[in-house]
Amino acid sequence: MRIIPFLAFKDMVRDRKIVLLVIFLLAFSYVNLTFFPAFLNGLSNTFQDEIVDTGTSHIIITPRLESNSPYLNFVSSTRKKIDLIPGVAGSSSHIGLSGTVFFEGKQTGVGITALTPSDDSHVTAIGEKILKGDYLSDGDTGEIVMGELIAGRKIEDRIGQTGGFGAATEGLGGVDVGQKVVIRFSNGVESEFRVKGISGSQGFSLVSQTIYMTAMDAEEILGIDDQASSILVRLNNKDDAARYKKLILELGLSNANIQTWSEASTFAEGLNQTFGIVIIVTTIVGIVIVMATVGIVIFINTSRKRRIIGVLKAIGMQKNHLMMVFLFESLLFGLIGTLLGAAIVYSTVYYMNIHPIVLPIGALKPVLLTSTAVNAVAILIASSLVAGYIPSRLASRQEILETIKVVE
Amino acid sequence: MIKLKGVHKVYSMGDVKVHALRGIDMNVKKGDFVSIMGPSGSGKSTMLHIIGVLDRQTKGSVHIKSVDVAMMSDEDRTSFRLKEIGFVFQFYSLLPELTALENIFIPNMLAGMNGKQCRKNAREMMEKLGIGERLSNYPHQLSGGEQQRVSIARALVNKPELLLADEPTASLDSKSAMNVISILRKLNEEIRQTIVLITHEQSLGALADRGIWLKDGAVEREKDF
Repeated sequence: MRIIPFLAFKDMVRDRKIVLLVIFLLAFSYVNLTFFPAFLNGLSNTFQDEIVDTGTSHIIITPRLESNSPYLNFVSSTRKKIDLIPGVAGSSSHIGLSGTVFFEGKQTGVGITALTPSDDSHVTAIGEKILKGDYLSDGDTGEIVMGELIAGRKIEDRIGQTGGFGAATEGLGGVDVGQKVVIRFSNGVESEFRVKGISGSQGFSLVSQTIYMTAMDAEEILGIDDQASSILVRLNNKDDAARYKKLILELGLSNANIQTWSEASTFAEGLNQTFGIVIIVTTIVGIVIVMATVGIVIFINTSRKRRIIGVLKAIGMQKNHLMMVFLFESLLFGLIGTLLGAAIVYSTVYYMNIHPIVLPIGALKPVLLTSTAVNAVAILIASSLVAGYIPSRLASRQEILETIKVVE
Repeated sequence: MIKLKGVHKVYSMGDVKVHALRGIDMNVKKGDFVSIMGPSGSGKSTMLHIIGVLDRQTKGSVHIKSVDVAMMSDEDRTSFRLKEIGFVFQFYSLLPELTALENIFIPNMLAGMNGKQCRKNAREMMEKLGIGERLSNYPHQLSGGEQQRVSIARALVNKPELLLADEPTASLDSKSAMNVISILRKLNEEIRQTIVLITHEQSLGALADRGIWLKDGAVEREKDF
């Protein structure tokens, strides 16, 4: 019936201030339903990127526990096979070592990763995380890159520092580029190394807590050849990791445990699950806010119009049509509020992707998933209708005689 | 047109029962102009609500156009009001967000008429009632008399057989009140509109063809003017 949209529009035009208020409340409810998840997705991505870029890459191959060997064998031929798979950007082998570093009477236990810098540059971003000095080159021997947390800071540099990982950790008390340290490896070999560079990133990161050396040095220290603790594989698309894991499995690598980045990093997975729960809770709160807001406003709106509702029924408007007028208003509130909210969220996300927020853990770019945006539209409109239904129904069922006696 | 027989109306207010109507008999023929008068609490409005199919009697029978309206479902009663009865209320009861023209064509719209025809009918009705220049004015931009004329136009736009006016002059000054009653008188004479007017002012009620006085829920007397 034409009268339903006609009366709904006229009512909304008359109560412009209330309508604008409701629409803004709904728009911000939409923002609440979408922006926070987008922010958390961005945060999760920042963590994941850090883990992928400095730890696991997209796929990581390690020896199986049952193999009783800490190393993968025939690494170069395995990597060649992997590199031939279309969609693989590159692979890199890492050798893991551990030991104790000594410097000017101080010592600390460290994890050491040995790699071939030219190979690794296609797979991780470790080479880009140099804060001071230089990164390693393929032919370097007797040189290391030291994580800033291991290097630590000199006392005078730490005065006045209250925050940040560097300030919290003394490390070796301030090792500088060009200085020499002694490393005693877990196999008993002890060697002197020159610090070529200091690595680190803005926040929580492996590169701040690891020593890097060339694979050539590590092979000599460990007495191994064509072996590695892990092979890291970089893909053109991070989201294809599960599919490529299967393709690599089909290569029939013996004694190899193949994991995607999300499987390898329980931290990233745990973070995703935690953020997922937080998003569900905030969504529920958002829905309650929407229903309460729209419900209260429509209730007040209908209460103010008791006499007119009575008159409309008296002159022949069916109560179902009357209810639909208020429901139509609720629907319009929901639609306009959603459109405005979507405009606010999309423009904010767009702006923040150009100008990301720099957090201690890294640069944060919010990621708004289409599914989140669409779900929020559905939730908001459904909530508006449900919230509008009860007061609309009550209003339409009021006794005519009670309502027309009300003097406006 | 209207036939009331032994109509009682009892309101229950907790344990207390209030007898608003006590066995009313009344006949109104097509083309009659009847005024119902009486002091406050005499049952005038209750009777109008029952005739207007807004309320149901406790006992007795009410036939309008030979239809026993008490037997109808709520939906059918609403449709009956839309097609057969026009209401003029004391406080005009216009929709403040609609212009005069839009207020008038609401019953046409409810009856499913297209927009063009609705506007045409409403405009004609406004011309007839002498408010043709006030088409685009909102109720707050109209005087009390003009608002009541808009209200009459709205009541008549669906061409109902019965027009019920509940104290239509109570909120008006004497000049506007006389003007409104004159309009009703004219409608009755020119198109034989059946009208039931409720008023507490004897001088206005006397402009109808027949007067019915109620007292304590019963007909006290009837008189042809």
